[in-house]
Amino acid sequence: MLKHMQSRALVAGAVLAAALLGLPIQAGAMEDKLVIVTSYPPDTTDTVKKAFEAKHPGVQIEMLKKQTVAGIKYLQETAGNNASDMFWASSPDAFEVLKGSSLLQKYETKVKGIPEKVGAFPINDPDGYYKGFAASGYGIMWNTRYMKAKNLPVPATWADLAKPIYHGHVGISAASRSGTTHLTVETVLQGKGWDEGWALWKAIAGNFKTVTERSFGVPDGVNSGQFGLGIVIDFFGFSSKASGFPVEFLYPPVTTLVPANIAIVKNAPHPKAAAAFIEFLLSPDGQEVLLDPKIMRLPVNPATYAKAPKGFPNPFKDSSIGAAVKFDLDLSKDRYNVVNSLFDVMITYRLEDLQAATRAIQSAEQALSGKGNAQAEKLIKEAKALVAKMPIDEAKATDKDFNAIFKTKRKKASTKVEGRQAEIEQQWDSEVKANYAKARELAEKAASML
Amino acid sequence: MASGAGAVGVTIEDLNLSFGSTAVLKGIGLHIEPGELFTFLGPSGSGKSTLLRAIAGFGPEPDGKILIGADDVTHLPPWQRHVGMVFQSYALWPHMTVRSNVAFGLEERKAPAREIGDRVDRALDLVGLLSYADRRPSQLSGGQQQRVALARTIVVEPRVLLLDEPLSNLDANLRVEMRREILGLQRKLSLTTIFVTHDQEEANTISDRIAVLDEGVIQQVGSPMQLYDEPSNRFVANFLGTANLIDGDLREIGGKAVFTAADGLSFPVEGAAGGATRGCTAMVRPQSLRIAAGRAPERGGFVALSGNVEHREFLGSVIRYSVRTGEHTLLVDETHQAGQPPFGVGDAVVLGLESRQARILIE
Amino acid sequence: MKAIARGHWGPAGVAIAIGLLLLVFLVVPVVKVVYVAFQHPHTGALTLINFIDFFRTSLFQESFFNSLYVAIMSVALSSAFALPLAYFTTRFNFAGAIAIQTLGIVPLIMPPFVGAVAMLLLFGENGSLNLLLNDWFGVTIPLMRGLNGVILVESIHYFPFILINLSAALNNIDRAMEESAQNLGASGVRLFRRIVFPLAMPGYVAGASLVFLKVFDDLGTPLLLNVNNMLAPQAYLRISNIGISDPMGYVISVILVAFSLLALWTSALALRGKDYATVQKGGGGLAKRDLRFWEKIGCYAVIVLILLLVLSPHFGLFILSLGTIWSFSVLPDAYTIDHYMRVFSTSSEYITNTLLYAGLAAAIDVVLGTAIAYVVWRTKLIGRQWLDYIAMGALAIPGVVLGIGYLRTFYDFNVPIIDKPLASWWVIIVIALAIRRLPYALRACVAALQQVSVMLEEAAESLGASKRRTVIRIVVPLMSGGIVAGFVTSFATAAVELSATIMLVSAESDAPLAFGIYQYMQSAAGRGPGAALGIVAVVIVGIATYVSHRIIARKESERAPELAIAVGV
Repeated sequence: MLKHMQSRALVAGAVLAAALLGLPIQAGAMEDKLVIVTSYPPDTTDTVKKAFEAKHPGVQIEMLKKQTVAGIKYLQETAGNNASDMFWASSPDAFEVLKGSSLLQKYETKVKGIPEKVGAFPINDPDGYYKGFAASGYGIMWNTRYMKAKNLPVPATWADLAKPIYHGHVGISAASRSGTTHLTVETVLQGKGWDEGWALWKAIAGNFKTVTERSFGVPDGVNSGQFGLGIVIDFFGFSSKASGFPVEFLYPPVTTLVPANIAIVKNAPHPKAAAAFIEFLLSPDGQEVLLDPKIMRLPVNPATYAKAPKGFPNPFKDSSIGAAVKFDLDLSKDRYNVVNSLFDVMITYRLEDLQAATRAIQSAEQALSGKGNAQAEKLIKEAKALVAKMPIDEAKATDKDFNAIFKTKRKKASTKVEGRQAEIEQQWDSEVKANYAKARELAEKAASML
Repeated sequence: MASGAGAVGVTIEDLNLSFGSTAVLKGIGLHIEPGELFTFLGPSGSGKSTLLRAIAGFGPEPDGKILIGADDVTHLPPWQRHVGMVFQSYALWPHMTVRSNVAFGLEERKAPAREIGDRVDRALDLVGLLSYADRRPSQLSGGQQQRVALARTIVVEPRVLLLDEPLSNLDANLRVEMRREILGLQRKLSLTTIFVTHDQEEANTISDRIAVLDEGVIQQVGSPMQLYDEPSNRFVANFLGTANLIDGDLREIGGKAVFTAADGLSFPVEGAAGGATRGCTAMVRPQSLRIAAGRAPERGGFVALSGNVEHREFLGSVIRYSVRTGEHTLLVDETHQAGQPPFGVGDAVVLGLESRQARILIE
Repeated sequence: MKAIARGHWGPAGVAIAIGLLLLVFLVVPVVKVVYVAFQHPHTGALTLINFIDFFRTSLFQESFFNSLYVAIMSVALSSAFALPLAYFTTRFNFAGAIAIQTLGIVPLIMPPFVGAVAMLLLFGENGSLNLLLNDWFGVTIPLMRGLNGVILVESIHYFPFILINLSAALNNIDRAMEESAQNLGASGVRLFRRIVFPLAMPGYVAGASLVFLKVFDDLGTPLLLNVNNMLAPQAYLRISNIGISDPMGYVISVILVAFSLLALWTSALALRGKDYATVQKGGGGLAKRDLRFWEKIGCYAVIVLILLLVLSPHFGLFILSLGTIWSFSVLPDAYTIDHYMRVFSTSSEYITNTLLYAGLAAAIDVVLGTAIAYVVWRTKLIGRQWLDYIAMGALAIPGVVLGIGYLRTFYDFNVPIIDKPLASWWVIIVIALAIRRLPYALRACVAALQQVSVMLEEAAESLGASKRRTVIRIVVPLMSGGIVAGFVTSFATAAVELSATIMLVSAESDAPLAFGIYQYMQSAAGRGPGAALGIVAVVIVGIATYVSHRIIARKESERAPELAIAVGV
């Protein structure tokens, strides 16, 4: 403890001395410190930090661990007196938000050989504010012991998860809490279209056991066996497996590969060290670190895959991964908050009602199978339609004015805003709740006829 | 409410009790008569409260026997003994009104609600606090709390009433008033009552009989006057009032018992057990000595001692002199009369002792 | 004013200094956060429309009732845990009473989110217990499902508040109170129900209201168990969403604060004039009696059962810290000490930071607590009660709100010499912890001060000691038992605090243990090391607590004669 305080005093003293002597911070030399705000776990940060510090012995990295969302808040709140150099996280959305708040610094890398796109997604920000250093795809992870104990088959597609056999066995994190889930949701919406996409999501969600608040809640739940299957980002699956957990992971046909990113914060106090960090991360050495069993991310440099373990997916070779959907980042950005809000209102906060309606529909369908009963069939169809029913259509969801209701900062003061978020969500909620209740009633009625 | 005819006695047989390895009561044997007001008197640490608590069933289980009436209660828990105890701190429950405090015991005995109401009213009336029934204990004065505690105890008509230093938390005037009230109540109800105090005046004024305790042993049992006049040992002599204690020997001279002290003081003793005894004590109360100026003639049965006044205290009704006579310093009380000049310090005086006023303590 | 004229400038100065401190570090940051709730989401004008929206929204109504339900049920369950432990250890001669009391407090010294992880592994739908039950009987018990899980985890975590307060209250009951009831024929359950419990009621209510408050405000547990339909998670989710302008999070914060203040106020009102323990003294606590053999077996069985349950998070965590892979199985596949090796080689800084922060915070708390207690109870300064109210109000402030408030308020303030914003200097963490835990220390100090007779002070003053000297030489030494108790409670709970620190840690080298555990628990390979770090935290704080218990016990016995004299006067 004493040492701790002494070292603080020393640093303080040195800074003071430098200030008193009027020493300029030397222009050409690299700074001896680097502060990175990151959402990554110690497994990732420690490994990369060690590798980087081995290359640049003079630089000491300070990793500031924040959840992605908290990290953004932190950078926003502290912008007036910024002390952070870099932001390092997965979700491109997070970087878009920071870029939108002018909190990032443009940077051009010297590393060659990194393709423009992974799957259908551009690796780097076209405006040059942030760089992709690894690719991630979304998929399904499952616990093999759990599946065996409960006699569950391995799913292959998103739609498989909507089957009755998976009722109560699936976990996901909320779209509003996890950039990865948001991208998964958006990918399916773009792949299947607004109404059909949501209908599929609600059919899957009816089988959810839980909606977690943290991204890591899903792999954690699958690893410990709280639920059997989870919708997760690939490296959670790979690293869990590499850590020894009895789990497997697969990419369904409709998925998106998106880059995980890094950027330099505007007014970074240590810009040279920050630049060196990006260069390192994208260099062959840095890319190879991503293959560490505790990290397991897809490198963006195709050459690195030569060193990957057997069975490690290579999106630059295997075109089945992430190529099915042409991901429209602008569309995603335009309706970002509305999609999250809809997900929360319809699924996260009404999970119990949705589960009950889904259960009723599934039992009715099971009772129906093999028997002909037109009336019951009609009721079940109605019930399914009610569950799938959306409070707003796609046009409204992408409407700029409507989206403005959900945003902190409007582009112009004159942008007209009708209604408040709470008011709108309440309207959606009462509609959704009534629909789920009605659907359940219809399905039960259908079942009683059989 | 009167338990008169039904009053029962308390018998204690060879009672021993210890806290861990410390013996607190040693071989206590006592019989308290039905309807008697009996006092345990002793200094703090003498075991008097422990004995009272043992009768109520509190504290570690003793060896020996406690009988209430004919019932052996030694191994009964407190709530089955039907004895009423008033605590030094009164122990009124602050979360209940006066009325609920008093009603508690009857409720525990599952008395019908109507009867409870009537009896509580009567008990409160008896202690003059009926109009305070709905107050909380914290709103009452010390004396009032004391009365509530009494009412709470007697309302259940206990077989024996136990009072643990009930007056010690009251101021002097109230103490006198309360002890009269307690006595009146006890007489009215003819309730066998055991009273614990360290104050001999309190014990004397209130008790039928007193047991003096010291170091866990009963020193003497008797009426207040007996104990005062005929203490059986130095402790009792001292504890019940001021006493001059003169060490000496009892000799037999000419068939008569004569007490002889070290500096030649000697006087015949009447009624003392015959035979010579070495190492005994003569006890003389200060008021049994006469004080006069100069030298008085010697008479039969009357011993005179010369000395000088060392110290003088004015106590109101008497003046207490401390007189040095040879090896002894004796306390002498002289009734004070207005206008009569007292002796001064240093005055030569003569003390007269009527020998039958002296009591020989053989230990 | 008259008081000041009589030379009470010292206390007045102290009072003003403390008032300023509370204003700067508690009132201003909180106001900075919650004022958003009163702004129109679009125009920024002052309005109550957000509150109307809140009460119109069915989700929020539901959340409100869920929070209320969970808080009330948690109080009930906590009481069921605390009552037997408190009663048995204070009433009967028990081997290991101190150990039992200490173990009973241990649940407090684990971040609730860590407890929830372990509880899921043991009692979750596919946790050890249910896997066994399913194997043997083909049934499972949904102990951890939805609100049930929250209630169970919260009760286990917070019941020590009731245990501590109730035990203290039971110990303060004049023995004659109980004996007089026995003498009048009461025994057993009736005696407890009619006399002992009502007399211990103030302690119980104090503990229960604390449990109610903490559960009502708690964020970590429902979040970890993925229960969203409660107020605190709703507030957090809405405040911390990316780029959303929804003021509802702040509205909920205001409602949390208001409701918590209401609960505090109600309990204070309910207790007014009922501080029985100080009405009549001199009894030295309930008589402890020896148990008969079978009674002893019964009591120990109940105690062991309760301790097993309330310590199950610790057992779970311990197994996790030693296990390799623990997945859909009753116990881990194999055992290893690697996690501990990793923690000791990389995380010692977390440990030193925690000791430094929690120690400093607790020290600040007892100094402030003693000063506030003295100003409020021993001076006649106008408005002095407000110091007490505001300090206690910290109880009602969710940690997240305070954390955000500090960032907003102190980020632009550069600390001279070290040239860093105050909000990113490690000292701000200490301040936040101190403010959050001040109520605990304050209550302990007030209780201790109330036991010190004013006459003892007057005696010192009449012998020529000034106010200041009297406080230092007489009051503080006599309060030392309570001060140590306050220090321990503040220290132990500050050591595992996360909600405010998570916002304020600005460098990993500044991070405390709870933060480190949280970090580890975010990765597949990190559960083991995280658990090991958790066990290290529990052991450190547990030892500190036990040692202080011993100190208090010794102080109490030293003090007993003095107190008796003070009381007897």
